[in-house]
Amino acid sequence: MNSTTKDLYFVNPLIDFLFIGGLSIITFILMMIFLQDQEYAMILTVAAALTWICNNPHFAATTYRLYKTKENMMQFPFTSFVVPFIVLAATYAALGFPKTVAPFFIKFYFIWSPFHFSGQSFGVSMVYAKRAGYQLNNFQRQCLKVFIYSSFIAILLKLDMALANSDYHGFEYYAFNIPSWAYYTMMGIMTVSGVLVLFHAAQWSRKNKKRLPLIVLLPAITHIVWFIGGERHVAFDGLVPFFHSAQYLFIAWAMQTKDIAEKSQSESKKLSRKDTLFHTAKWFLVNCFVGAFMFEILPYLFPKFGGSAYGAFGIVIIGVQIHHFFVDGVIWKLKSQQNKSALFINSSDYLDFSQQGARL
Amino acid sequence: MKLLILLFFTSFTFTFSAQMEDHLVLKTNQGVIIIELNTEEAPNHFAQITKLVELGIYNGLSFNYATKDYYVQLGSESERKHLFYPSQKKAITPMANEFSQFKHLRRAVTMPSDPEAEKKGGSFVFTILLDQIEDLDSKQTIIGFVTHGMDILDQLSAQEVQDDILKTPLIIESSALRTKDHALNEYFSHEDSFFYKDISIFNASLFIFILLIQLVLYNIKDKLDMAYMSAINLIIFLCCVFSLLVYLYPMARENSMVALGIVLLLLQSFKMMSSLEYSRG
Repeated sequence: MNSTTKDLYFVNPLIDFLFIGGLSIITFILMMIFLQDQEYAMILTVAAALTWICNNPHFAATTYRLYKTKENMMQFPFTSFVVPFIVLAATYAALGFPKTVAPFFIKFYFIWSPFHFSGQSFGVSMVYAKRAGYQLNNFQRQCLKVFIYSSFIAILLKLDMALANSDYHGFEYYAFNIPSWAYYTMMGIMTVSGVLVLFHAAQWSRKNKKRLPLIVLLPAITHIVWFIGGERHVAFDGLVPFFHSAQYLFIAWAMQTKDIAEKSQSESKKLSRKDTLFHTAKWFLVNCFVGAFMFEILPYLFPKFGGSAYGAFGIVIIGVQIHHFFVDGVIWKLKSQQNKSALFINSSDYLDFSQQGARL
Repeated sequence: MKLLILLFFTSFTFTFSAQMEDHLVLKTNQGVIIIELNTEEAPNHFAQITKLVELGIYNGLSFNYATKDYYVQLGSESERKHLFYPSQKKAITPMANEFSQFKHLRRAVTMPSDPEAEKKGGSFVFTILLDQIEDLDSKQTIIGFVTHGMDILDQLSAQEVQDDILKTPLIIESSALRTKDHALNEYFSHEDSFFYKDISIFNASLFIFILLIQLVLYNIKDKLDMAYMSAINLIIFLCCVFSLLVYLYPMARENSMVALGIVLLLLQSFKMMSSLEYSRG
């Protein structure tokens, strides 16, 4: 592995490609070609099973990262100590006011969730851009941001044009009355910003006399597949949260192992294969258990306020996810020096066997 | 002669424009449910329901039985707040089935006529279907369809039950037959008044909460870092935005500009929330 490749990828080209979005793009293409309508239920069952080992742990990974040490908590005191109470208050308000606050709380979640996906896609794009030495000026960064965010906003507007009321765990929430021009305008903005992103990439390639690595644009392309493709393919749409979680866990794992390596006793500050596997398994299992607690036990500990257990369950799991969006929007900021140092180095710098994996 | 012709057409027009009172409005402790009665294909049942409503049979009755996403059923006299008066009891007579072209789909309101069902509660008891039950097409009479308030019934059926008996039944506070327009007016005015009452309580609670925070802040302002103060003020501001959006949300159903405004405000709020920690500088 040459030094440029080494600096660009967290682990190696194949692993990075698959986790960052390649797996979801391949799945989307295969599903478009081979999947029949009657097999949709089977895919959704698979998606439900994957929540235990990927989706739930991804939510837990944020909580674990924030509350793991006192130092982390003190770094973000508001997020650590005030935000849980804000989310708790909003969850109680939704449970206590099922006809007024709950519908808005549900809608609020359904808009924040894809916004959060977009934030992650943009953040991962910026990390790889930086790793590739692809310097973006403010206008170019805004183009990339608009391209990523406009895809989710366009689909959000399109879904709301239907004006049908929907049901979520027995709560009725309604669609916004969105005019069709808003959707077409957003699609236009997405197309123009997409063309500008490609233009900037081509300009950079010409200037530097080398092709911009695909991995830099992969998160943005993946994001378009998730939203525009997902809107056209129900079964694939059911798997999008899994792909988002896998992308998240990949980055979180890199940060986690880097933290452990830094604290390790070894002089080289590198983790051996055995230690890496041990710490990865431990981290993964902790997240699986914390995730299961947050989504399978915690919802039953809340009062129902005269409503159904099914309804209360639905509202509480929204609360859990909103807490994740809150925390996630804060702890991964690239402004933080600690995040920067972990996100811009290669795993082979702190893992002993990572270079062997690179030969895959 | 001209006057006679005018009178004839006026009465003709009046006859056709006057709406029939064929909508059963049930005001419950959870909201209003409207049932459009099947006057044409079940006229005897319609006449019977009219009589029962006038006698106040349904007032104080409750929906006591349910199976999740399947059906919701009225309770019998014994589950009523007060037992029936003799005049009310006399009006409850067995009814013969009136089969129609309608199917037992979701929203269908159906009445049994078999002796077993009679024993359970008599011919005033009806069941509302939350899903299609084909078997009933040849066994029971469809007396109407629920047009508004299915959300209340869906929520009711989602409750925990033991042997299909609801722990918290849905109580019918009053019942009346209305024309379609009047029924809809009652439904929406009840929905609105419920919404405004609910939102007032929510906003008042939020106001008290903010006031308490401000009082605490005022007392510790000398000890608190200005950066923390600004972060707390940002939280308060976001709470106010949340409260405003809860209020505006129903309006977004009708007004596209309000809808777009809410979307923009929400996106901006998400951005501000992620900068919460950094407002400390």
